[in-house]
Amino acid sequence: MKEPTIEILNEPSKDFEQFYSESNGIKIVPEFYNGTKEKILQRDSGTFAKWIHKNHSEINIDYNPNFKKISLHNNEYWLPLVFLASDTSVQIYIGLIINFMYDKLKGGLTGEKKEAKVNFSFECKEGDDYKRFNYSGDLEGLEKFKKIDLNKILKD
Amino acid sequence: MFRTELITDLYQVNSFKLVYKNLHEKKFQNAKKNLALIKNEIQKIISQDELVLNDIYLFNQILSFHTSLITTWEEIYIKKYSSSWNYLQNCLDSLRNINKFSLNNQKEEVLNFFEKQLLILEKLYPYNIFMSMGMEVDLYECSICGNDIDSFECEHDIGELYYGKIAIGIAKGIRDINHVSMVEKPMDKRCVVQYDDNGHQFKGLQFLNQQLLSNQLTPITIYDADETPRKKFNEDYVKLERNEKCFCGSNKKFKKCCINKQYIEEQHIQLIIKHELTLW
Repeated sequence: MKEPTIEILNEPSKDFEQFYSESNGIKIVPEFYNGTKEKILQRDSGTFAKWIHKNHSEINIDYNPNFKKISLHNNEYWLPLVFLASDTSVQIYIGLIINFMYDKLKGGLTGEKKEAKVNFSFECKEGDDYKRFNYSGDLEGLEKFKKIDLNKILKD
Repeated sequence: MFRTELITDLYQVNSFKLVYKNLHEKKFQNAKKNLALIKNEIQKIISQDELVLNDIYLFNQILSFHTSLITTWEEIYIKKYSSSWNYLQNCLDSLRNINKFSLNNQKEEVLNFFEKQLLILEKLYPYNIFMSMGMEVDLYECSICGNDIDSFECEHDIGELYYGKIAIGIAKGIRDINHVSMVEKPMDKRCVVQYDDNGHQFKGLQFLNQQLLSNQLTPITIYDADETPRKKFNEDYVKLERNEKCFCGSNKKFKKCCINKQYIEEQHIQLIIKHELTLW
């Protein structure tokens, strides 16, 4: 497992500021990737958005499928960059990913693990800082972050 | 395993015991004929009921698994190691589907035995790195309803079963190949570098072939494996004076580099055979 990285975004995107101040829930955000000419969505964006829509209808999910998709053809779930509004904590979001992954792991062979590549942006509770969290690894590694207060770590 | 009585009964009546017996005796064509007879029975069933259709899909996956299993061993038997890899991957894909769509994800004992055996077999192949391609695609069309499978308008989820058919996203409008990369965990393990069947890369499979030909083992008798690494003599080792430059080309002194590498660790898989094991 690679250690996750946390970037401090001093200048958050306007999209994020607008979403954070006006909306709730989760916004799936297209991004530029490896020289693409336009913003794209990761292959599993739609699968993930539909899973939240069906299984957690109480969570507002802001998702526009009308972007090109990029598919890596490897055996991991590559989830999109998301913005988390003030009503959706980091812990809730990590819990969603873990449940999604366990659902998709049904049928795996003995010893088989699926890995997740996860990125999300959120605002710190107490300050003006905006953060971006990037993680790539297995579920056990991600589960650790469900139990700890990321904001507290970031302040240290 | 199944959700309907109709298919449960059919599965119980059509035993796979003869298939296993013929596989054990390396009568591969006979084993395939046994499967064809079972396939005829399942093809007779006509239904509109979603549960029955999904059970028929599951039954067909079990048949596909057995066909690929027989062919995997047949290819190893006739020294077509490179091609046997693809059939082995077909087996494992079928097993994933069987595990996924069985009632409560139950694993049947016999299929569990083969799952364990095939995962051992997979380790004898030389493939650790696979090719993976990054593509930019306009959209993925749902194989069931034709809508964009990533939109909320499409009610189907990728990889799920609907009236006996799996929902697949069909790439429409591949705009660019973003990159080709080498990965350890690909979506499709069939994307490999090809080796010659007589090459040293297939050392493990060549050993297995000799054991099959000399009746030391059969496709049914591989039960488990012990994977303790063992030490072997390092054929590159050159005994030098302590202060001489090391033979490995590191530019370090021998005493600070490979002085203790006279024996090196290598992967060692000991197959555990159970001759008394019978599946029929």
